[in-house]
Amino acid sequence: MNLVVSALGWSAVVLLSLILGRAYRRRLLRKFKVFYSYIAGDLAGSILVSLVRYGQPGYARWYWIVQFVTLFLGCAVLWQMFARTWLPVLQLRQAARIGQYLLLSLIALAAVRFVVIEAKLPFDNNAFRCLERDCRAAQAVFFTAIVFVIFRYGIPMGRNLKTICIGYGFYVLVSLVALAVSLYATAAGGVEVLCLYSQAASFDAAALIWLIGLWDSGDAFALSRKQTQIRARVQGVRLYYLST
Amino acid sequence: MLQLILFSAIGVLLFASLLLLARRGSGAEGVAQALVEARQALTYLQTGLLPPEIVSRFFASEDFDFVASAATPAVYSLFYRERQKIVIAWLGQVRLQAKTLRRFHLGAARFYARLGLRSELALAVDFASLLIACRALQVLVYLAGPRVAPNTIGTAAAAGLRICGAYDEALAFLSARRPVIDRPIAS
Repeated sequence: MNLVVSALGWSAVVLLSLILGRAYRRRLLRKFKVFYSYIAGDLAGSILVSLVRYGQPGYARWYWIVQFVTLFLGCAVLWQMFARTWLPVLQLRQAARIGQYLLLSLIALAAVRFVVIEAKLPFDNNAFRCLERDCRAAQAVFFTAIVFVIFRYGIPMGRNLKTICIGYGFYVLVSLVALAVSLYATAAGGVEVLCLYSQAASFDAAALIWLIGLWDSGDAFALSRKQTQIRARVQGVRLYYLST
Repeated sequence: MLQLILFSAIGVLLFASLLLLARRGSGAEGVAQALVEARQALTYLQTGLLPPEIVSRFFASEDFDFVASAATPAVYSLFYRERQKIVIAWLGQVRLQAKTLRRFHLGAARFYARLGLRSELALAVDFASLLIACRALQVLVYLAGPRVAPNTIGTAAAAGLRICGAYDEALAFLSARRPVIDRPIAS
């Protein structure tokens, strides 16, 4: 079991390093600042957790600290999705702001609850898992809402943003299901271990999606928020002059 | 168990979103083509499908009474079946053109800052009622024949005309004639 967990951890480190390296070469770091900050945070966390061997005293504590810090950084990815997809649409600006404030509230609540659980003795692994499951469920709801609006209003998405969304959405999905199942089947130790492997493996899979999708970034359709706004204004002016 | 079901349901929704996102193309939508398609759909609905005289003719009892009195039962049965097919096809066309208009609305709505929440909601209700009514009527006509529920057909047609009215102004520029200059411009 130590070997599997270590292998998954170090694979994540390698994949994340490659993602950051490639982004540096393709000059994508500034374009997706928030996402690459999340990747950098994950890389640092993965290195830290991999250095502390599984089963050693203190491993669980470090694991949960890293897990929640990266979860909060992951919320920033959702924040960027709101900003890139909803904010450029005039009717959705208010809804986007509300969504972002709700996200902030979620982070604040989760942080407070994390501190409370961390301070409690004895160390309660299940409480952390419950909290992570609830946070992943909230992220899933936000993600689904963002995608629903993207489809309803036909909002264009560049390939890079789509890759980021799919990778992160996949990780959130598997984490949510794995945590829900492992908390339900706490008596069956085998199920719990399987869920742990699934969650770790899903992060590696997400990192692979990002690496492949962002390796050769086709910038032709990678619309920034400013580009989308300019395009919308040009369309509006064109329609106005056509109608007069 | 309930918690597991709830979280699994959220997981299923997220999975469906991911699937849709993965299948979606990355390019921006073609607004010009959408405008032309919407204009064609609007014209077809207003002139070809929803005029009251056409709607009332489909379901008028005079034709059925005439054929019943003047022809053999076999001919009446044939006429009845043909009229049933025509009505179902008509309802299908109305539904298709309404969906084209709705697609245009959803794709181009972000360029129209003048659309308020109330008008959006009213349009959404009209679209939903028209599409549901058309589908329900298709099933009803298939099962019970073309002389069923004339009031519902009238309501559906009225909803369709309201939708057409909402888009008439927005798409008028696509069929506007060139202004005729009847005086020479002073040099």
